[in-house]
Amino acid sequence: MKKILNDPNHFVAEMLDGLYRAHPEQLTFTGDDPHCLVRADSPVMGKVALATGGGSGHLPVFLGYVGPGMLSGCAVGDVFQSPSADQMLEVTRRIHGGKGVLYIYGNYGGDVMNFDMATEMADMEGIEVRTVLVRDDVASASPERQDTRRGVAGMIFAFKVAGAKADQGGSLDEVEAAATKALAHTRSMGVALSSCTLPAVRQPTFSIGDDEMEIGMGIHGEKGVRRGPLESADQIAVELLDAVLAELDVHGGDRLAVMVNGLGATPPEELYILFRRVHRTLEERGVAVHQAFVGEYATSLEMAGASLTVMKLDDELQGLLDHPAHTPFFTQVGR
Amino acid sequence: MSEGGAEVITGQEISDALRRAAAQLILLRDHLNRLDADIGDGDSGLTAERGAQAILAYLDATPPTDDLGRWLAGAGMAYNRAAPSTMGALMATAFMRAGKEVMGRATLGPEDLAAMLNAADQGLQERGKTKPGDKTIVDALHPAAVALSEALKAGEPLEHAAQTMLDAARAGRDAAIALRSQVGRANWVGERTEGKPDPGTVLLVAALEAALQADFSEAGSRLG
Repeated sequence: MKKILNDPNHFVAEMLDGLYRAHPEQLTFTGDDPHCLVRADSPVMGKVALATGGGSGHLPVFLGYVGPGMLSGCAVGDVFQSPSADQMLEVTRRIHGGKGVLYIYGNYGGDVMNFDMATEMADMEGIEVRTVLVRDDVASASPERQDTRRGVAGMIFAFKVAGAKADQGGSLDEVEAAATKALAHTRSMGVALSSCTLPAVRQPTFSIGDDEMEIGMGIHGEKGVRRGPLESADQIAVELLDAVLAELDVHGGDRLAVMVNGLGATPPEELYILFRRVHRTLEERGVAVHQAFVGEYATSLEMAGASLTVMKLDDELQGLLDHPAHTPFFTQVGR
Repeated sequence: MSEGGAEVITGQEISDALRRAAAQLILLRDHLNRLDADIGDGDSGLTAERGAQAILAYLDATPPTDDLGRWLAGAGMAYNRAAPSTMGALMATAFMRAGKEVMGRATLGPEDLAAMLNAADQGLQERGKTKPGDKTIVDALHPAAVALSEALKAGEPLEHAAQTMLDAARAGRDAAIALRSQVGRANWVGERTEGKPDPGTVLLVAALEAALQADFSEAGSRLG
């Protein structure tokens, strides 16, 4: 795998340096540590602050959603590694606007432990912190074991909905409830066609045949539900759609937000081919797509493949989704 | 430690003991990696080395203060910053919870050590969502914490109580060899973990041995 690199050990540091240089009006860091990324206008006083965090290698997740209408800050880890608890604490201190802080992040062991520790330390400093864990990937565990599911692209809908609630002046209780509701209405599943390659390792993380795909694979290469011959875009679209709709009780007349997300090495053309089948199938069932998100929203370095995320909308979720937001990687025009 | 009367443990003594433990973990890097490769993802030694280096750097830069609780919590944060992995988070939790027990104290007594070890044990079980018998570091730490508390309660002097604690940690480590991993990445390996030492228990015993200046023992050496 060829990569555009200097020293692979400086992958994250140089990525962050480039990012701050590209978006100086929007992003900065705190605690003298570039891994502690916050909105340039932090803290926004009088509003609930939202933070996330996790390993690098998933842009725009996580830091790409820091900006007005979405997140207030993000602790950035090394590639696929959790940031440390005190980096999270540093972000928490800087974004706190006096109304508490909500952590929204994916269900991965190292992240959970470090965020829990950051919560304890913030509490000792008088900052109230709550946590909403993202567990949207239906392929990662059965419905009976939903608590162990990992979080993937569905977190973007949670960022959007909770961010809107905070921007509108919601209390910590209300912002937490909005995030929880968004996630209760959101499910995801993906398919991988190739491995990613860690910059410092320079070898593919796992092997998969040229004519194979792995349905349900995680964004670090965790195993999915089955491996088989590569199928057509239409077959993949229908399998992913059926799997995510199975838990959402969607009927004719319902409205959805639909995200077809590229994992890093699949061109947007192919994502639109997938979206086409998803949309036509929903149309046949009388289900409306309120807003489509087609592009790269949560990647895994240069992994080929895609994920499908669906959020079933009601009036409240639709209103919060429609609220304006603006980050270096994501813009929602209010409507 | 003073002879007779009330036993007083100074920050300098704790700092020296931590230094010895950290140096021992650095020596054990490859050994821990090999143990972990058998049942987990093979980076335990690297993480331990990184954390131990951070502890040594912290001790160099930060002599013990009049608030040993905050000073110990700082050591945990240094470990976590250098190694934010699962084990790094667990070690930091152990230091923080132990430190909380002695916030604002400039010197410690034997009963403080017991309280700190119990707090570290509880912290690890909470943070790691694990309990004795799951084949983790807790299988050595929990019996050690219980043994130290009970020995002190029974009126043993600290030196004897510490030996009792170390024996309990070694016995816990060796008893865990037969167990099957119940948590974390090692859980996926399932029955293949039976009969293999748990790197967390090996790490803890080695750290205690170094801190107490006892001889280094191999996992399984005290079985039978």
